[in-house]
Amino acid sequence: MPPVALGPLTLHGRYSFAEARPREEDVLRVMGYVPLAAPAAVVAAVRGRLGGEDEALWAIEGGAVLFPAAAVDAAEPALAVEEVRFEVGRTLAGQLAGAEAVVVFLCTAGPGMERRARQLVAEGDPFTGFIADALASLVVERAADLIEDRVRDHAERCGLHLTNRYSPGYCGWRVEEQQKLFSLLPPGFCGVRLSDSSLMQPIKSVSGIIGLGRTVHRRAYACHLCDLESCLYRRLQPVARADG
Amino acid sequence: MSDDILRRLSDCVELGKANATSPFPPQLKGLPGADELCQQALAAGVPPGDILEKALVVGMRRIGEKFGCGEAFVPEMLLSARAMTAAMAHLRPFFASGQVKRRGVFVIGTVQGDLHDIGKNIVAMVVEGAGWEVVDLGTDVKPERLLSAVAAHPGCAVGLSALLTTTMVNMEAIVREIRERHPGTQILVGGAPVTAEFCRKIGASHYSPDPHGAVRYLDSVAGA
Repeated sequence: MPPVALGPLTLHGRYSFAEARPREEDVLRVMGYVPLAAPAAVVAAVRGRLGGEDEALWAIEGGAVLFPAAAVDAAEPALAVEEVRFEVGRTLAGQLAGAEAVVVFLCTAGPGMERRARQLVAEGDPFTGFIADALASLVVERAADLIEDRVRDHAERCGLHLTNRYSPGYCGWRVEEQQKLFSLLPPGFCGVRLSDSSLMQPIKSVSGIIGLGRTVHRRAYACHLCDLESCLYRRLQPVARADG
Repeated sequence: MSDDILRRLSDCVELGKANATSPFPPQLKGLPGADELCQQALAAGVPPGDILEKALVVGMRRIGEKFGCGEAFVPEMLLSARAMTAAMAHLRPFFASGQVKRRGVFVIGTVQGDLHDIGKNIVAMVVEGAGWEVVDLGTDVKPERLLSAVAAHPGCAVGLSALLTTTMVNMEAIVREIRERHPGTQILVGGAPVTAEFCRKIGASHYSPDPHGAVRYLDSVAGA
């Protein structure tokens, strides 16, 4: 197939909590509960946090940069994006097979809610702190959903489909590769910094790639091939990612 | 009467009812919680050591067992920890005076380079609820700080936490240092990327995927 004509694209957006608000059932599910069987205290605390009274604590933003030429090498297995070569591992190379372009995305919920969660724990209320922490994890995923929607709109106009989102640290892709990922983004993108140990700050941030191509499509996450039992995506399947 | 107070107190810890104003669980609404029942037990002359061992530890063990078999999840563990902490506040003077003995000292921290602390905090609370004195060094703990804490608490057990594969590797050097300077120290490791195989590889004593497993191990070595 001849290459697709895709121009450069950089997206950025800021979102209110109302826009990035996760569903109550997803907050419960990520903590391990079957929503209708969750204890009343937990449901009440989740509803309290979802009420939107913490608006000032959120600084939700996200962005993405499109790289029109990407090549997946299933034999290595690796993904080449411009001069950067990601060693993505066999699972991810398989999931990205057919990708002709790649979007690198980065989203954050900001530092406010994670500070609040830490403060609650320090004040002797680890329960509410944990729920605030879980909520922040889901808010940043919702921000990534919103960015992905914008990427999809652009891709569909070019006749392309999207793969799932994939992040360093998941599906066998080593977290150290985060350094290479950040090298493809403008400095200070979304206000997120990366430490030498590949820890993003604010902690409630998510980065990764999405493949674009004429033959790619969203797939079920290959959790059966992965041993990361604490993974957020494993806990949320299948309902949270409504487009999945 | 004291048996009844201790039973109700252990129920409050298990069910996460910290005090009388806590509206949950609904079946205990309006009734005294762990805070009030601990005070009642002391007023009734129940030895503080019995309150710890026969009520608080029992309640935390029960919720830990539920957690271990998937009948309860982290938020319920934390509700229990909050209730236990409310009761424990009344016992602290007896710990300080030496009237109540702890099972041992547990020094815990998230390793250098890692700022994640929720999991570490949960383990710290559950271990404290099991009757241990917990020295929490926080996050991004430099090796020298950890070694000082171990030196300051002879015979202590150590818990190391990491949430990233990039910081998990920092456990190896600190385990080696502790082994060299304080042979025989029990070193527990945990965190999302940590496995039993990694634990063996770096020479740590025990890996537990959940806080209850850490308590079981600590209690087994404390009694040994």
